[in-house]
Amino acid sequence: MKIHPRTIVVHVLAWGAGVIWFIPFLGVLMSSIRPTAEIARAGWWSLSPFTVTLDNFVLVLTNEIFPMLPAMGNSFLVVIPATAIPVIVGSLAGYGFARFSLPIRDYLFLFIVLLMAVPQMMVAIPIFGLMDDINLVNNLLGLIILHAAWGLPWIILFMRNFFGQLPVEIEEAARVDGAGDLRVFFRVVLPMALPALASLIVLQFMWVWSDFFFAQILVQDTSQFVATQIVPRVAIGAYHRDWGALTAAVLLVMLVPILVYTLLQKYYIRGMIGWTVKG
Amino acid sequence: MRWLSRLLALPPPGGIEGEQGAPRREASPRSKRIASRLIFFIPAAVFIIILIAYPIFATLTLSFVPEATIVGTWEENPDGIVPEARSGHAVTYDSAAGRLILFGGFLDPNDDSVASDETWAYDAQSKEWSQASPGTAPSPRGGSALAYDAESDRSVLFGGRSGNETYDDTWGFDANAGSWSLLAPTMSPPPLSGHAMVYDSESDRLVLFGGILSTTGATSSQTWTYDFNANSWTLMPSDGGPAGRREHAMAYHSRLDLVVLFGGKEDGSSRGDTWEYDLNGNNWTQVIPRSSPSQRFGHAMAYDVGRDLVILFAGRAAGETWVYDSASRNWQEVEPPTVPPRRQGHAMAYDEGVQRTVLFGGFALATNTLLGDTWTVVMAGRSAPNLDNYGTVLTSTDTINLGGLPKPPPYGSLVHNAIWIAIHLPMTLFGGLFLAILLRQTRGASIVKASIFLGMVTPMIVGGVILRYLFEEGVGIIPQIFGALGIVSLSGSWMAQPTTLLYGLIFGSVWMWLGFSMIIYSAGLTTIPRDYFEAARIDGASTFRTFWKITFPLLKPITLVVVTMTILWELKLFDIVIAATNAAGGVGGSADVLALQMFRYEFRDGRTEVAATVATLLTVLTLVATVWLLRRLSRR
Repeated sequence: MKIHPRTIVVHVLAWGAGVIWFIPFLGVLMSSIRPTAEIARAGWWSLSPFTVTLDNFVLVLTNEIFPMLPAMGNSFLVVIPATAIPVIVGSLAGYGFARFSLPIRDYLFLFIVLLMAVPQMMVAIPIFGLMDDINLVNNLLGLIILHAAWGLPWIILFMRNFFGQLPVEIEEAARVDGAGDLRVFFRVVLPMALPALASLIVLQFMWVWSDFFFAQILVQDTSQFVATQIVPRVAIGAYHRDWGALTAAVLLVMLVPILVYTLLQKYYIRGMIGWTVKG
Repeated sequence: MRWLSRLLALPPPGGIEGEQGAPRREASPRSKRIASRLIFFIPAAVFIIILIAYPIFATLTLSFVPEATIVGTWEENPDGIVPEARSGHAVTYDSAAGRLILFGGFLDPNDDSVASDETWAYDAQSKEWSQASPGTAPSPRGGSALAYDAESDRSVLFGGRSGNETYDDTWGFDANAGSWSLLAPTMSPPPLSGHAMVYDSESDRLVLFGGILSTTGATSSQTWTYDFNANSWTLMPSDGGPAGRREHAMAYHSRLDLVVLFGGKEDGSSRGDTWEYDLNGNNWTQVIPRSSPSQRFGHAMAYDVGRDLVILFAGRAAGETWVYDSASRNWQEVEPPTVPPRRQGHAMAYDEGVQRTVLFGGFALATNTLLGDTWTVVMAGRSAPNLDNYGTVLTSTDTINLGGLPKPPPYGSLVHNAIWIAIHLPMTLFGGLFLAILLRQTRGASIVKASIFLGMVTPMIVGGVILRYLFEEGVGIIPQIFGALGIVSLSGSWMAQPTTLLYGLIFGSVWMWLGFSMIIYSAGLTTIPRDYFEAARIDGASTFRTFWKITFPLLKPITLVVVTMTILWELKLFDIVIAATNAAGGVGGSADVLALQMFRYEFRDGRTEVAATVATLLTVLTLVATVWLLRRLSRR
């Protein structure tokens, strides 16, 4: 069979990009499992000697000043409720926007869409003051409710569009049977929305896990640090230029989103496409 | 607004609300129906209003508040008859007499047993000191505390020391009669010096905190209050209050009815903590201000009633003027053109008559001498909200710095964001589209996609650290490659040089973000029917022509979305830059961006109003991009 030269060019280009794009991650992986001295001497691409060690991970996880292990625990403590709350609250509102006609509904909806564009920096100053007033600075609860709120605009948009496409006949039938709005929502509509909810959960989980800015302004107490706060501190402070430890920290923080992505890729991509292309 | 209504046009709301909707078994009244439906909106509304909408409004409002709200002007009073130079004296303002009252102080910098028992009064109107000649007076001492009880018209003095002798006596000074009287309450605080005391006018009590206990040499962490009418001291139950200290300073913020405490010294180490005390609730609260004076002791504080600010001046090894705004719970340094010499052990009180804070005496550490100078400081009030901050930001070289082109960065944060968009947007947009098209014809495309999409899954703060690693000389592969190619100028650490830092970060961010447009375009391409391409091929159109005439136009709505999302991402850049550089945006700010500028102004420099202005400008830019997208989409 004759292979078209075009096909070869296409494959070289596409696979070339794939390989080049992976190189930085390969560097991170290679440095994290080898002693820093080895990396510093000849670079991670040099394979002799090649000593495999887990010391970097142990060092980062249990460091005295900025331990990664409790920080990752804190991250989970934040991420789980900060994902669950807005998914429920936002689905309710998204359903409301799709189904109920209330006065100024459309203007409210436009307002919420515009909120999606607003950068976190726009609220940093008052949020710090507000959280300070209610003693939620250095308290993960403060971070949770903040992330919950900031997840809402796009979740509402996403769910409103999703519910808008669902046929109303099933809901109508339930209503005829005398079920109230809330009952219809939880018993009939939400079960139909499970794939959409999975997308929301994956995306919101990723965003909250990856957040650095809100954590940075609200959490200053080392014991309450989340995982993303540890990484730059490893880079700047504790072991400056200890690339073994630094890349180990990087890998640990990346691990969770990568796992989530690998396992729930379908929902992630669908969520991202729905969020943009159909939004 | 036509585009708006078109954009918002939904598929009809499903008939539930429609007239022809299915008949209900129970027709509930419309008001009840609306109420039950509000439940769907209320939780979201609460979150959004409190944590998004209101803070946005607050930041916007703050951006119009003039930054240079507080301009301090110090003036030295001409010499005349003045008290002898001293430190550790006590002053208070007697509002009935319209005079500052001064008592005692140490008169020899090398011998603390040489103390004064003089009482002086200062008339800030005529700028004249006069010595009172009371019959009896407290014994000579320094380190005592004096506060004027307005209700009873007495200046109350407690404690102090001279040499090894520390006192626990309470005295009252009547400025009209010019006489001291020993009050001798049945119970009183232990002998103390270096404590602080203020008059809480709302509760009509004096509040005393801290000091050094002569008995043990330890510092006290007790809070005492004194009721002049009952002539009795009360020890307040302490729970979670400030740690023991001496030579701290306190001021009573009368508008908020709070005592503000700052600094002090314990066991040779100085403190830099700020506390507020609410006497009614007996409640000490530590404040965590965004910016604060450094640790110090021997400073002085006074509450400026007219400007609603607590003023702090100098202290051990310090000479700055700070103001504390209890409303924003933040300290701000005031930089007046002239400042009194550095000092500690001085005393200050606010004179309501001339609306100035008066400073007298103190100890100059540098020369080991005592001071006998009188100064007043006035804080210029807040001017009306205006647009000055926008002028400040837009004319600052932090924002736009294009003078002297051609030159390497920094060009200013706004320009850096623009350069970012100019390079990063076309690269990711066309790169992603190109890849998406290639990958349609590639075996193993899902592996390539996964590799490229990894950057999107990586937290940006982590991405910034990876970029540092990538561009670091010796361990980073990029300088290594350029070194091997013999390009010396690119073989060093990119992040350490202004010429390469910004571009290194931009190319690095292309690496991170390319997966976004690739994935979206990949999805978009599947929506184009294959027939289109077939037809074009049969017509003999070149690949290039097919792309420009068919693929790209059909993908236009997707392109709009990718462009907008990418621009938003480029405007909001923060994590990558701070992780790869520092809060200053790298060497000379050569990779500074708007979001980082905002963060730095607020959380490092304490310039709240200007930080709010930068945040507002950033938000305006993001909203412009979004509205542009919405309008274009609605034209479909």
